[in-house]
Amino acid sequence: MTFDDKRKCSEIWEMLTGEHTQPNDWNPEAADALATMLAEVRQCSSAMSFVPKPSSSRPGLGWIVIYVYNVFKNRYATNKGQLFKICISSSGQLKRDVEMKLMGL
Amino acid sequence: MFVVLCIVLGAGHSMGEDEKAFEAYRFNPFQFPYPEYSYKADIVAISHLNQAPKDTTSIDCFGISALFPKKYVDQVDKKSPSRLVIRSKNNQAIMINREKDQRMGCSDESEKNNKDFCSAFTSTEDFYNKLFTLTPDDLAKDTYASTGFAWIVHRKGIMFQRVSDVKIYKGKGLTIYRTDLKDPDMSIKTELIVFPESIKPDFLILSMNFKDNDLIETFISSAK
Repeated sequence: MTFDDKRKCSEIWEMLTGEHTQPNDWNPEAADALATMLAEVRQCSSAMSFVPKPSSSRPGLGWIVIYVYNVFKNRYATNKGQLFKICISSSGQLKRDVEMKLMGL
Repeated sequence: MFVVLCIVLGAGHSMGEDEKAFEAYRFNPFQFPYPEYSYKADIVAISHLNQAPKDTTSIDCFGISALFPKKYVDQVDKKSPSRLVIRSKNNQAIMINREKDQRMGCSDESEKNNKDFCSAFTSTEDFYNKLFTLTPDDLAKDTYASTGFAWIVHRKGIMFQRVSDVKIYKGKGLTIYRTDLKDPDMSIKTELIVFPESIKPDFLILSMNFKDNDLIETFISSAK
């Protein structure tokens, strides 16, 4: 996982949850868990329809850094988290799983 | 020729069945095909402890004190004003988050775009109570006729898709919603959503990367 990958995860996490992390907080397990959460929120919210569908049922870091990041940055950067708030609240277990994995747990 | 005829007729029969199953969708988009929609939590009465069991230690969890077995308490880190992490020497961990009641995302401008869903509950605790107890059969009753309740039952498909079991614990001034997780790729194995009257409208979420019923029973029966 490169520093650029970690930076992208950190930015997407902040856009999605409003929570700040440092790029170096991110590890491959947390990134994969973030991809799983994003894929679920994407299915829940039609507001996320601009994000390309993952090609497998277990999306991972590659999907985030190659397909999701630029779309997020261009369309959802300015406090658009409101659009997915209800969907994010339903994915709370996955959000907390990312938080556990960020701590190496 | 006979074989070809059988294949064609078989395919036609199968397509007809699919269309029939989907036909109900024209009238009612709320289809509940997965077993999670029927999860209904048993309600267990909390028996409060009179005496602390041996080998337990008391930890303040954002205004709620509770006992934890000492074997799980090697480090206690306050990671932020609203997050506490208890770790054992073997990296078994309990992450405790203090959460504000945001009514499942309905507490701001999202509400106007989700009126049916948001109208069906008054608080996060009310939502969890309905999520854990309502099933598709309840939607036929007059009390639960509104579309908002159908959305809550529908939400079980998302929130319980990785869950093997659900339970509710009720005591004086305290209600706890428990989920046991079955997804091997998740770190979290068990969660408790804790609603103590004393910190309302805030509540706690305990997320554990291991499963131990004794720990859960000790916590639940000592929390005050």
